[in-house]
Amino acid sequence: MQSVQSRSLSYSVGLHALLVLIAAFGLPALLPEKHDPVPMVMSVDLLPISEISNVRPSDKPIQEEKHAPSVKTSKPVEPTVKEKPQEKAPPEPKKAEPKPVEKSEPAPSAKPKPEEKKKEAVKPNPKEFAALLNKLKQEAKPEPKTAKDATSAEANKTKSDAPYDNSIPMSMTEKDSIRSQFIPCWRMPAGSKDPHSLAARIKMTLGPDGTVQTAELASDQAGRYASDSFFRAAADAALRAVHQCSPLKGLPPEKYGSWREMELNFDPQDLL
Amino acid sequence: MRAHFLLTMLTTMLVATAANAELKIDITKGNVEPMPIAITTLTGQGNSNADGERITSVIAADLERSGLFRPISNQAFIEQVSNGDAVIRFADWRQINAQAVVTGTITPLGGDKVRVSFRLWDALGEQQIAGKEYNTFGRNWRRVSHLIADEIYKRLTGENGYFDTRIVYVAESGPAKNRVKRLAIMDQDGENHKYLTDGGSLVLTPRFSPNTQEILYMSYSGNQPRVFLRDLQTGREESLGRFNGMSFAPRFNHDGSRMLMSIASGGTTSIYEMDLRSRSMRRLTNANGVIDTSPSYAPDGHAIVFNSDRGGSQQLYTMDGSGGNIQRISFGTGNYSTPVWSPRGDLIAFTKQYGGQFYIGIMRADGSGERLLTQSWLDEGPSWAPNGRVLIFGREFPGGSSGNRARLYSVDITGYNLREVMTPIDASDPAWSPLLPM
Repeated sequence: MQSVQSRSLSYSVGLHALLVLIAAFGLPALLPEKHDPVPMVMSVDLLPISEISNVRPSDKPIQEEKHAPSVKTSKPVEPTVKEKPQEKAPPEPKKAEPKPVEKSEPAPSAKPKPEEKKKEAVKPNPKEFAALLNKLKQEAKPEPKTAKDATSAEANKTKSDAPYDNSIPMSMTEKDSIRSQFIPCWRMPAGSKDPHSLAARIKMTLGPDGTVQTAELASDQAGRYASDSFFRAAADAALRAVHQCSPLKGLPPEKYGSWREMELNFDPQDLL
Repeated sequence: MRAHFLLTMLTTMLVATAANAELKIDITKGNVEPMPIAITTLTGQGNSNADGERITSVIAADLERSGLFRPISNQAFIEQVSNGDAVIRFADWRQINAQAVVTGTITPLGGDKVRVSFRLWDALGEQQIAGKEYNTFGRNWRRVSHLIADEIYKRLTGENGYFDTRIVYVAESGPAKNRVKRLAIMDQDGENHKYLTDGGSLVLTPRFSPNTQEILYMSYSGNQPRVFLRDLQTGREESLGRFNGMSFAPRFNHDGSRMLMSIASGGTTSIYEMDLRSRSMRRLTNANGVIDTSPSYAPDGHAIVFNSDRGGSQQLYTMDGSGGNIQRISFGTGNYSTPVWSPRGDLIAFTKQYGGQFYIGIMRADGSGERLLTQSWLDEGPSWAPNGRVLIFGREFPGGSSGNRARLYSVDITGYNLREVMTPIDASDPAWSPLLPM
């Protein structure tokens, strides 16, 4: 009897101990081969991190939202505003004007669409005001934001007070965003004899909306531009890239002071 | 006093750099897509031989074939250019993504003479970046088109063009057992094709002289295969001597004053240099029982690349102009042959055979940086375009009972833009001419 009792006791102690162990370390820790490939090397970049977070991601959806309707509305508005698409010519607007009217009459009985068109029909009445609003939406994208949240509104106020602080550094993400924009714009001098010697530096100034206002080759490279046809072609390709990529997108408006002037070094070092 | 001055300078410089603290970004990635270019039809009346439309289409075809440009269809043009001398509406061209725009005029000058002019515009930089005019006979319209394409290519890539050139090659016909091989010549775009020999004797490895007026080649005429020199203007053919053995693989030096060739005799093939004025010969390699062949000069003539089996397998070697300082430069697996030094001097192109396949490849002159550009059942005999950017070579396809099919192909040294160079019949052994003299 005793031996049976002591055996069951020892079982009980043993199993309890196991239970405690499992509770303390968890099951996976007891399983022998379940170790993660943990010893990873973490690469750490020491970067100047700006206090203001990157506004760009939240910018985009707003642009898209605003863009989609503005395309729809802009057609009827155009005739009154005389906006960009000059080539689209007079015939289109003429057709467009009657259409909203015709449609708005049967509209009330119909779907949500007519509502939009009603709005459009209303807009032309205070013509210039609506047109101005539209222009503002398109030109100054951050402004819609001011309506949405107060903090960025403040930021915008300071921004509109112009070059406000040169010392806010651009974050790595922002620089990368600029770099990536040039990939489709820049045709590299592939197959040149010594592409690594063809790095061209372009100095440019940008408007608050990212539009390239001036762009020229760094003055110390002007001599080579005149004498070396390979370099001249490479420098021209860099200048074309700058013009083609204008306006640069996603630049944080509050850091205008730090990106208003840029020097881009077009260096085909990754080329074979 | 001087110290004070220096201090002031230093302070000024420091202040200047501080004020100039603009954002600096390195752009190291771009694309290698062809550049969209709009080539408008030359305005004005030409004459019966030359008209704007034909010239424009040749320019567009040249640029397109280079793989570096993408001519935009004229149906997309917004601005219809009516005066080829006037400034274009840059915004209209940017709208259709044209980076460069070509305009021009053609004016009859009486008789068959015409004046052809062109202007190259940078649509993004909004300025004219090149322009030229040519007074010529209308019948030269093709040549003028190639010259204009060369100018455009040069201005936009920095590199000389290669459109005003010709290609000489071996045209093949007939069954494999009784193959007829004739020398043929054509413009680089396949136009103006003509045969130089009648096919009475087998010919191989034609090579252009630097002035493009002569070719060297090997012919089997008169029992012993040997090297001949042919004047393209007169059609006169002369043997460069009978030697104690077969002479082959000829090639000019950079100024046409000398040539290299191989002479095979008693199991040994050696490389010789001949002075073409005095016809005096100099032996450059001399290794018993070894085959040294396919010699090619560096553009400055101070070095020679050739292939040799002196190390056991066929590999590439370089030596100086007098045959000294022989060094092996190819170390990859497989056999290397037909090396050709680039006219730019930086690269050597070659044929490589490995694992039952043939490759056209390039390596730096010291043998480093080997890159294979093409691969097929049989690729061989590369020849450089005069700007050292494009290679032409022969490719054969197994044809079964009907015999193999042989064609010419070109490829860019980036490995892109592999294209067939159209020939009327089977073709092999192409050689690209230097730019034609004006």
